[in-house]
Amino acid sequence: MMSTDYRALAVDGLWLQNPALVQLLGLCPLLAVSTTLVNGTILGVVTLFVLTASNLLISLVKGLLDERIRLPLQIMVIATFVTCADLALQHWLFEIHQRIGLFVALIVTNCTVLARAESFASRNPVRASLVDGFMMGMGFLLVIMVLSGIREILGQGTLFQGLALVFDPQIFGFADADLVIRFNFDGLLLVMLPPGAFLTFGCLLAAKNWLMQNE
Amino acid sequence: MSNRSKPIITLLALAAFCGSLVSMSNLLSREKILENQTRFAQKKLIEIANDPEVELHAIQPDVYRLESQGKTTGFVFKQSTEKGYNGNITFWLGVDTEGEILGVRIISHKETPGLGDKIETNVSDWIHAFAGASLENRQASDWAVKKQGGTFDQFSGATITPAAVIDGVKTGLVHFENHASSWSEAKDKPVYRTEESFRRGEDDEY
Repeated sequence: MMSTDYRALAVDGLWLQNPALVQLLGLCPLLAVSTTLVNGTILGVVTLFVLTASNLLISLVKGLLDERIRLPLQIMVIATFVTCADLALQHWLFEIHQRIGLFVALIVTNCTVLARAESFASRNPVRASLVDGFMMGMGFLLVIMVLSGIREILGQGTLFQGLALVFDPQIFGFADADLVIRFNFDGLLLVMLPPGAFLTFGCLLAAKNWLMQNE
Repeated sequence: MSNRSKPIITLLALAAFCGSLVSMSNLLSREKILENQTRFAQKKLIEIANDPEVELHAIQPDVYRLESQGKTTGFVFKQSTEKGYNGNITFWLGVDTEGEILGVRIISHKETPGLGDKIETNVSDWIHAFAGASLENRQASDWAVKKQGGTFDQFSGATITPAAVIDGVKTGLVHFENHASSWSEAKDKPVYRTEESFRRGEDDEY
């Protein structure tokens, strides 16, 4: 049996073939939800789950995939996991769902998910597909965390806003407001607006390319 | 199996699998989600009363009477506007007996995260600007964002959302004017609704 190079899959997903920074896929949710670190992280985690689960299922049934039904079938599988994730979010993190629910449903249209199903999971072994989905998801998660962190700090001068919606800080004896770091300025509005998302993301791309050139 | 029927059967089988997966998640989460929605709405309702001394008495579906030391101090009722950027915005509107706003709290909306969601209290203080306003102490033209000649702030990048809420609140005040006398005479209907009907805003028999 051919051994799979999991290390290479990890390096590809996180860096060399990073879905957001290199393949430039899934930019709609990436740019739209990266307004605060908490929102971005949750969306990234849900995307990670959907990518991993859909890669797994598609790879399991890849022998049955027929030219004519391949795409509708993949979309159906992806939509299934997105719906389950959406319900799970409403179950456990209701107030977060109130804020980003719109974009959770849109994960179905995130090209990264379909691209991995189509170009990797439908022609690779199950375990490799699972690892690929997870690593690509991690790549997306890390980028959206960095992007939303930068935008939250520069755009509204806070960090971790909304964290109290994820877990109850009173368990640890904190008040809700203690979780939020407030910087001493109001923030640049431009960074919060859609153009700011593109500009910040452009800076990230430039930084990534510069780093790769100097490797 | 012939070559032609194989893809059909594959598709059907997987559709059945995916369908049952979704149904199962729905079954497992439905009750908790309803409970979350109810609790969220109740949390927002209590925020308007903003005082442990004040008692909330249900008098009609989605209409509550506020009572303090045996006296009616105001009413909180559910309102909804369709003028948002993306679907309905539903909110509680609290009004005292003189028609002045005690508070407004958003229950549900689908406005753009990061732009339109400044109507939520955990994102910005904007919604508190309604406190104390009434149809009498504000002119008709005041009920608009500043950009359109009113007295309420717009959000940078989002005007439709605050304008929709302002309009909805104003409509709600008119609704209150029309119902104030009947509400004042209405009897309390304690525990007359199931959690599910609370969510759907439907009457239960009582």
